[in-house]
Order: sequence, then C-alpha cells, then structure tokens
Amino acid sequence: MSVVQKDPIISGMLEDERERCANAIKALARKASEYPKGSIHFRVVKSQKKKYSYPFLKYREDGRSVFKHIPQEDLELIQNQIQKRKKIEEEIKKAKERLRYLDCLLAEEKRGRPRRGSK
Amino acid sequence: MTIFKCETVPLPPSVEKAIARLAGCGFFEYGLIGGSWCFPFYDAIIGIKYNFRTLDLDFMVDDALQHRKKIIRDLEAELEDEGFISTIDYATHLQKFHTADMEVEFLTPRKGNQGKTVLIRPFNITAQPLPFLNILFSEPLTLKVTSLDGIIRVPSPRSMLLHKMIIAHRRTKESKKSKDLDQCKVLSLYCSRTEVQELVNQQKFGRNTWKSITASCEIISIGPPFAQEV
Repeated sequence: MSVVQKDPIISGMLEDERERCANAIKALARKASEYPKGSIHFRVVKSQKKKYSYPFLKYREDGRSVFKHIPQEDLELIQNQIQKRKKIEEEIKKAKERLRYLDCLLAEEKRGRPRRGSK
Repeated sequence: MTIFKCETVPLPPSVEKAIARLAGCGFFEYGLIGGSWCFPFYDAIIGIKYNFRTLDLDFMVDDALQHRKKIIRDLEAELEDEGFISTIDYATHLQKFHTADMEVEFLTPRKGNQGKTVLIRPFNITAQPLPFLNILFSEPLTLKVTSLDGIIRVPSPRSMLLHKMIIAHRRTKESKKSKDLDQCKVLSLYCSRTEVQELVNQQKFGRNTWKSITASCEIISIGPPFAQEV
C-alpha cells in the first residue's frame, strides 16, 4: 500500500495542493489575458536613402494573422506588458506540469497501486 | 521581549525569498508568519518538529493597520520584484501572489461579521479577514535569522495550539481537520497546561468555541478541557 493511500493527511494535502494548483492556473491565465497577445516586430521602410522602422504587434485572431501598428510612445509600455505576459505563461506551464504530476499521484492512490519506482 | 537568534532555518528557496523580502520591508513589525510554515522556525528554536506543509504561505497582518493611511511599504511591488505574480479574485477581491510552485496570501483578524476582503493601505495589499486570528497575535516569538537577514515573528506555540484546537472543528474538509489535530498533538507536547490556561483566561469565547476546544482536547488526549476562570 502506498504512503499516499495509507495516510489520510498526506492524501488530503495532495488533494488540497491539486486544487490550489488548478486555481492558480485559472488566476494566472486570467491575469495573462489582461496583457496584449502576440509579439512585436519592426517594419523597415527605405525612403530617400534613409531607413525608417515602424513597430507593429503581430498576433493571431480567429485563425488569421493580425498586424497592429504601435505608436512610438506606446512601444516601451507594450514591450513591458508582453514581457510580463510571457513570464506569466511560463509560470502557467510549470504549474500545469505540477498539476499533471499531482493528478498521476492521486490517480494511483485511487487505483490503490504503489507509485512507479517505489518498492 | 526576547529575541531568539539562529543562523539558518531550512526553507524551500521560494518560501525563503518571500519571507526574506518581507523581513527586509519591516513587515514583521506588524505581521506574523502563519500556518504550517511556523514549524521550521519552532524546530530551529524550540525543537518542535512537524514536516507536513502545502505550498501556500500565509502571512497575518495586524487589523489595526487597515485604518492607517500612511504608506509604509508597497508589498505588491516588492513581491512582484521578487518574481511573484499578483492576481485578484474578482468574486472576493482577495489578492494572491503566485509563482508556479507556491502562493502567498495575507490574512487579518476578523471582528464581528465583517466578511469582506480588507485593504491594508500601508502595505498596499488586501487581506482576508478570518476569525480567531487575534489569538495568534498574543505574545508572538521574535527571531533574528541570519540567513533571512532580518527580524521575523511567528505566533507562540501555545497560541498556535489554542487556535488550531478551535479551528479544527470549523473545517469542512476532514483532511484539514486531521492535519490541525495532528499539529495540536505535536504542539501539546511542548506547551504546559498552565501556559495554555493563562492564554485562555485572556480570551472570551462563546459556547460553540468552548465545545470545539473541549472536543479537540479529548481527541488529542490532553486531559480534561481547560476551564475559563471567571
């Protein structure tokens, strides 16, 4: 019998941790949706031997690519926001991995089998 | 006031980062570490061992702060700087700080039936008001931990014991109740009856709270329930 199955405290803690993890993913996803999606690109235009670069935001919406001009004064703000969104998405990815691991542990507990690798 | 000194307390890096940052901001002049994360500190100074912990870190803030307007430190900015992501639950307006492996939450003692989230303006955070947290603020332990580079405070073991004895019976989840009672059992080995009695005498409890204390005492077999001196 696995430790998880034997001890109701550990089992309960794992369930709480799973719930916390799932709620955290939802909260983080909501937070990420507050920031603009896509990535910033620059369009270079040559005119009269001079080069001008215009920033634009590129993202997909309903299966189509959308290009949105970014005014120069908003560039820094949007860059920061996109960086923040990427950081949140990384945390969501890690939290999802954690959730999958907890799901495996809890599923094995329900089946009553010891964890893989444990003797 | 006695200040306990210790070199280091074994904590996971993310927990250590959050506590060290708050210690650096002077948060522990007004707040305490709550829940199971007090036990590593108890272990370091008194030798109380309890190793089951989930990865949510609760901090308790003095409720008197909600009436102050002067900003002491922007903890939201400090924690975000430390890599935590602040999220707000739209239903309850409760603020939490997340990383992939843990979350930080602030709690404050509840008075009466006030159930809404409380804004703690001096620290620019919101806290969840919960009943009986005032018990934990009675005579907390102060520690100077070299590795955390600051002063931190945790509830005294006897206030933790009394608090857990009460809340165990208010839990809806059976596993949480078992965990609370398990912690009570461990704490009761280090708290004398007189110490807890002294603390009980400082409080005023209703009938249901007394029932909870009595029931917990019976379950953890620490003798007859404490009577409140009138």
